[in-house]
Amino acid sequence: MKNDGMFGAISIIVPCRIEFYDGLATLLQTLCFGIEDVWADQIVSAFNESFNNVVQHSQLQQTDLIEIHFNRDSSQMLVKIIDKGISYLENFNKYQQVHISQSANEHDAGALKEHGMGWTIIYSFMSEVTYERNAQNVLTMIRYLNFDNEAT
Amino acid sequence: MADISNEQVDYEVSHDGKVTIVAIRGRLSALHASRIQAALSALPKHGQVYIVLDLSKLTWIDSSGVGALVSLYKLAKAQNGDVKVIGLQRQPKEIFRLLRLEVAFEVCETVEQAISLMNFG
Repeated sequence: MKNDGMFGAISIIVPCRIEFYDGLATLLQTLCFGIEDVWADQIVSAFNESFNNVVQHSQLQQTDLIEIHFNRDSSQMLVKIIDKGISYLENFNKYQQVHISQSANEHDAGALKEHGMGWTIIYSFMSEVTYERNAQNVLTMIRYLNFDNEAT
Repeated sequence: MADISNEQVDYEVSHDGKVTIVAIRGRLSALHASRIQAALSALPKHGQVYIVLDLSKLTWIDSSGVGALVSLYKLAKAQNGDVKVIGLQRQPKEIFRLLRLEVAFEVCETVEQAISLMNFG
């Protein structure tokens, strides 16, 4: 992919409601302008799953707020989601280990899993995924935008 | 670039002999997955267990949407039914590949092929 000089950053705070997802996805998709379609789809898919996780599992009220940052530069797209819901460190670590073990042996990746599909999408489609827990949850996902660091 | 702005999901059910064909259009994501899952789950409950999912106009799917399809698959299989998929495009195709859903859902080219490969028990 060639560098088309498309840079930009968007920060937004939205209520913890699934109804806000489509609008946020449109913003992210727009920021993905010029990125190959398959990569853009992967980035938006990872955001889709991480936003769903917060809305569905954080135990926040619909009036609570979620802070979202999209930041694209010449080499990467960064997506950060900050919320004050319950910690998901346990699931983050659990499904990270599942992803690593499945990547090591693809044949162990069972079809029709009941849980963790969202985390599989996140870990597979993004180049780096980190989680910090202090007074809030901070999930940072980075997708490199060059072939040398391609995620999948 | 996929058009993802405010696109809803809808479905249409038709029949070809013993086979039920469900065409799902739009974005099958968390916002609508429970509604679609309820509709799909009603099919096996009414004895419609041989199902072709036409996903040629499905533009987006997330894990909640996948859950709705998996739920249908399990209900149909529990009654010795079968579920085939046709028409996967772009992002849904990538999600099926990543989650290895084609291991369970046999992906076919056409409705006719899907019906010809259907296991009628």
